[in-house]
Amino acid sequence: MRGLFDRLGGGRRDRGQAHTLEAFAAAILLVAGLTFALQATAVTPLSASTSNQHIENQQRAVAGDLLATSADNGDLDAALLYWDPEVDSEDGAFVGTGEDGSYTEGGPPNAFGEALNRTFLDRSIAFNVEIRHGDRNENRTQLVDMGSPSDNAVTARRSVALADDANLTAPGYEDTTLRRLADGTDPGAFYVEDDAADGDVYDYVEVRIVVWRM
Amino acid sequence: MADVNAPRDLDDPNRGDRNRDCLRDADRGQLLLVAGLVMAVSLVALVVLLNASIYSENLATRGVEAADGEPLEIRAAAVDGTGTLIDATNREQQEDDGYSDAEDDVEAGITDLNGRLGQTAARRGGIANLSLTGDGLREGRYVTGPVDDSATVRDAERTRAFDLAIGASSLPDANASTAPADAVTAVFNRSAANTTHEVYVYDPDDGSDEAAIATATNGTNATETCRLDAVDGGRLSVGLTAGTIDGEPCPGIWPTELSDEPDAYDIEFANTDGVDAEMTATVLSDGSVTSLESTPAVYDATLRFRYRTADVRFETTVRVAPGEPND
Repeated sequence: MRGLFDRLGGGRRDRGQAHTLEAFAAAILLVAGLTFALQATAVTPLSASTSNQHIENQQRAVAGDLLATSADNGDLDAALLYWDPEVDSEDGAFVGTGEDGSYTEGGPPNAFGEALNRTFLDRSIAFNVEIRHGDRNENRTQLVDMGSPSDNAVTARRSVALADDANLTAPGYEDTTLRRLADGTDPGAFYVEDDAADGDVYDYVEVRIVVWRM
Repeated sequence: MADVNAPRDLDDPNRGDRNRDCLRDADRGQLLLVAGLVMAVSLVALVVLLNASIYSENLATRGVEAADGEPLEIRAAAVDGTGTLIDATNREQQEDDGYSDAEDDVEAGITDLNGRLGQTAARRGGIANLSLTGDGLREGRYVTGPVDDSATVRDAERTRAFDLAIGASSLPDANASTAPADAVTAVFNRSAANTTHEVYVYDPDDGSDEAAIATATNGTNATETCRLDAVDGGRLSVGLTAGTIDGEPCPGIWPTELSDEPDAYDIEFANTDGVDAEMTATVLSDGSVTSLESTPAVYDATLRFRYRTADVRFETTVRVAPGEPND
C-alpha cells in the first residue's frame, strides 16, 4: 500500500482515494438504510414474505378441497338451491338473508355453510362466496358477502351443473323445480336465468370462494 | 476510537520529511474506518438481497403449481356437468321415447358443455376440448317405481345410482338373525356363480333405533352393518351403490363381488308386502324388467378431455357414470 501511495505521489494527495471510498460508503449506507427501513416495518400476517405465500397456497388448497367435497356429497347443490322464490316482492332471495340479499356473518344456514364456518370462520379467516351464471358466466350473485378482500386474498372455483328438474331446498318449496319457476308454473323467481343450455340442464354455474385472513 | 497515528516528534530537524510520513500514516485510520463501514454495509445489503431473491424465487415458482390445478378444475367441471346432464336426461325420458332421444339430448348437451368449457379456458389463456370417444355413450335402462316381491331387473351387468326409499313407519321389525325372513330385502342373484347377495333393511326389534341394515351372502349369516337412530321426514333413503343410509355413510352395503363379476346378475326383492318402498336405479342391462317402470337411458359416457396452455398440456380419457360404486 505504501509503495502505491509513494508512486501516486504520497502525502495529502492520498486523501482523494479515502474521500472516494467514503462517498461510496455513504451512498451505500443511505440506500441500505432506506431498504432496511422499508423492510423492517412491522411484520403482520399480511406482510409479503415467503411464509405468507405458504399461507396463501394452503388457503387456496383448503378452499378448493372444500368445494370439491361439498360438490361430491351434494351440499353445494343444496346450498345453491336454498332459495326462497317468493320473498322480496317475488324476486326471491336466499333464505333468511333479509334486505342484504346475501349472508354477511358467515356461511348460509345449511351443510355447506357449516363446512365453510368450520373451515374458515373458526380460524379467523374471512370469505366471500360468489355465484357466476348466465350464458358466459357474466352475471354475479353474492351468496356470502363478508366485505372487501385484502390484497392477499386467494380464490378457488368450482363449476356446478343445475338440472331442469332440480328441487329447491328452501323450507316449504321442496316441490318447486327450476323449470316450473322459469315457465311460471310456480310463483316467484330464481336468481339464475334459464339460458336454455342444451339438454335437460338448467345452467352451468361457477361458484367462487374468495378467502383472506382478517 | 484508539489513536493509530505514529507519535510526532516536533523537535526533529528533519521534521518536514517526517511530518509528511506522519500524515500518510494518519490517513490509515480513516481508511480502516471507511473499509470497516463498507464491509458492514455490504454484509447488510447482502442479507437484504438474499431475502429478496428467495422471495422472488418463491413467487416465480408458485405460478407453476397454480397452473397444475387448472386442467383438473376444468376436468371436474366436465365430469360433473356430463354426469348431471346424463341423469337429468334419463329422468326426463318418457315411456314411448326411444334410446335415440336420450342419446341425441346427451350428445347435444356435451357439445354445449364443450363450448362453455372452451370459454372458461379462453379466459385463462388456454384451450379446452371435450368430445365423445369412439366408445361414446352406452345404452342402459332407467328403472324406477314402487317395489313389490315380483319386481325384478334381469341380466344387469352394471348398476349405478341405486336408491331405495322406504316409509319409516312401514319398515318391518327384525334383527340380524330374523332379517332373512322379515326384513325388506334386495337380492343380487349371480346365477352363473350360483351365489346370492342380500341387503336387509329393517326396524331393530330391540326398540333402540329406527332403522338398520344387514348384509348376507346366500341368505345366511346376516351381519348388521349400520344403524340409524332417527329417520328425517319419515322416509328412509338407502343408497345401495353409494353406501349411505338417510344421507349418512354406511360403507359395505354394496357387494364388492358384483364389481368383479364378469357375468350379469339379477336384482330381486323380498318381504316387501305391505311396505311402502320405491326404487330408482340406472342399469346396464339388456334383460327384462318386471313390475317396475323402465325407460331406455344412457348408462355412461366415455369422453376425451384436452386442455392446453402455454405451460401445460393435459389430455385424458374419462368414463362418466355418476353414482357407480367404486371398484
